[in-house]
Amino acid sequence: MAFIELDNLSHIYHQNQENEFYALCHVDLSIEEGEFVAILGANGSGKSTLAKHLNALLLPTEGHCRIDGMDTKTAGDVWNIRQQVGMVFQNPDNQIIAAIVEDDIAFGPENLGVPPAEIRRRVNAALKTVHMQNYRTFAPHLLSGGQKQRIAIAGALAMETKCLVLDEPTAMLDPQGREEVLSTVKRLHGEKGITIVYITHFMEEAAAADRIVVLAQGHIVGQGTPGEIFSMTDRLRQWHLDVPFAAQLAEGLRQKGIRLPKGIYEREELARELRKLAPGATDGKRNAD
Amino acid sequence: MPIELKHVTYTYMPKTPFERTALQDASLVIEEGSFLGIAGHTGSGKSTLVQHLNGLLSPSSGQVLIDGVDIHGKQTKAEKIAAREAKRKVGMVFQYAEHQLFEETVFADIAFGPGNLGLEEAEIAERVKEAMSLVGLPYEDFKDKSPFELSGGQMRRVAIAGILAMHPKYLVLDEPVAGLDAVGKEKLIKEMRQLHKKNITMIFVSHNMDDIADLADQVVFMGQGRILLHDTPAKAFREKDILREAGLCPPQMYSFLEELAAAGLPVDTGALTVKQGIEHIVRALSPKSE
Ligand SMILES: Nc1ncnc2c1ncn2[C@@H]1O[C@H](COP(=O)(O)OP(=O)(O)OP(=O)(O)O)[C@@H](O)[C@H]1O
Ligand SMILES: Nc1ncnc2c1ncn2[C@@H]1O[C@H](COP(=O)(O)OP(=O)(O)OP(=O)(O)O)[C@@H](O)[C@H]1O
Ligand SMILES: [Mg+2]
Ligand SMILES: [Mg+2]
Repeated sequence: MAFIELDNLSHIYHQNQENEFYALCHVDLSIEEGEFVAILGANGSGKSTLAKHLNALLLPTEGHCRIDGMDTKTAGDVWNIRQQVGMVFQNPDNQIIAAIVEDDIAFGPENLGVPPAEIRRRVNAALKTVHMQNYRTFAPHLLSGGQKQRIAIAGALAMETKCLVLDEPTAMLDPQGREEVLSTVKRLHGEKGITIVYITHFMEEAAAADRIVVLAQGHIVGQGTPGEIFSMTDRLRQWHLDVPFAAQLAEGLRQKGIRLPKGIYEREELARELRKLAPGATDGKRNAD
Repeated sequence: MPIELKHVTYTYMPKTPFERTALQDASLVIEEGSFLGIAGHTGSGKSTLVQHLNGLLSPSSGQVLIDGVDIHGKQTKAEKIAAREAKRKVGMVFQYAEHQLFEETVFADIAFGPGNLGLEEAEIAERVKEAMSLVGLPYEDFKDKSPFELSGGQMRRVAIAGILAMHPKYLVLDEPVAGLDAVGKEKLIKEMRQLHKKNITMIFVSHNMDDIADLADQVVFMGQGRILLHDTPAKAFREKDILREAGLCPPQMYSFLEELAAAGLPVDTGALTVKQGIEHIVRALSPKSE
């Protein structure tokens, strides 16, 4: 059995009311322990709704969600499930609760009954990872948008769960901050074998995943490796997703008659292919102005 | 007439342990009709700066002038009225715009601002419809929904529509496309361009240099509460040292061409957008291009 199993899962908001809304429709999805899965999809496609099922914040209207074999509908298991699945919410303000940054990060581990010395170690480590050591005694609501996002991520890291669900963790970060979060996630996945479910609108980040799952109107409409997904530029547009920079550029160049192989979506690869096509690629440089 | 910041310094929570000077002697002229992009690392003071543009924050020292009116000066009653009028010309979409939402339905939320302007019902409804279509929210599907029961990207669109419906003369958007999907982003960017053509002065904060290169005719880079640079995009992205100091990267196309050139491909660098870049590369690859 896979670590995460969604089995014919549907979620209806306001069931049996006039404004009833199917946010997820008969979703089947298995995620193995240690996998890194990115979830992509248009605004309103159901990504956050799906994420909230993974730590039993929402329960399926139909079907099942099982975490490590435990059904999220079994009330007695919710506690165990939350010890295994950490969550970074889409909006950090929904997550930050304490009046001081370090208390906020300690809150999760405290609830898990982690001993104080260990909590201190985890808080330090988490703050360091997100480069916010200097803000330890700050009030979270006085931080900038990106700083809040970092604190929310640190809070989830301090839980040291087997699985991390991150809902658009980098939306408000600068490029450097995004790079740092992504490399932290990759490290947790690579070194500690943490299972990662990563929701994003940034294709460059999704490219780091083992597998991409695409949602549209509550249905899973596509799955594959980043290479498979990103080479379908027409589909990407249909799904309201960005086309990665290199794929977009390669497509534009092909339209101008430059012969490039199919399926390019990484900058390095595109640069390599272009160098092959250059008339005498090694005769030195020429720069503008 | 422009918006002018004159030596603006802003300190949050002065004389407390949380005291922090987030803006340091910032002077800036935003000419009417310009399209200004503001970039800088997390915590560099961008949101603090833009919140001065409509008087939401008052400078600890220095002045803010909107169309020549000092919006905080020691004032007579007439001057106070003028200041209020001036501030109203500036529409502001916050960084977490979804927090601006508070009404029971999407319609009521977007109608709130125009309602405050004292417009007639029919005119208000017209503006709500127009604004919703501009941000890509189908009117019939969304008008009666609660703004709190929407997805993150949908909430953002409602918040932006609420400001657009007020038809401001200056429009300030703090990270407007964060969290929008590709279509939502494209729509909003197109809309920003159109508003600019209709003579609205646009000011936006973004971490995305591609968007800045694509839209802005002026850029400001911030670092540690200071304005490090104010110039055209073409010139600004050449300032490698300032970019590094601000913790920013140039647009993807710009750095990609530099990488190609460094690897020995004889390509002209300097293009900021994919469209320009394609031309540079095609030229470099065609056999007798000289
Ligand atoms: N509490 C709620 N009540 C009713 N409908 C809701 C609620 N929350 C979300 N929805 C609707 O369910 C659908 C899926 O929302 P969800 O938040 O899962 O989308 P998402 O894929 O995360 O989008 P985004 O990229 O904008 O964050 C949307 O159409 C939304 O309007
Ligand atoms: N209400 C406040 N009280 C005290 N300090 C604050 C407050 N708001 C912001 N700050 C501090 O002022 C500095 C500048 O914050 P600001 O929100 O302007 O940054 P920003 O450039 O918009 O960052 P981001 O890209 O993360 O949104 C930060 O160090 C922040 O911690
Ligand atoms: Mg969401
Ligand atoms: Mg900000």
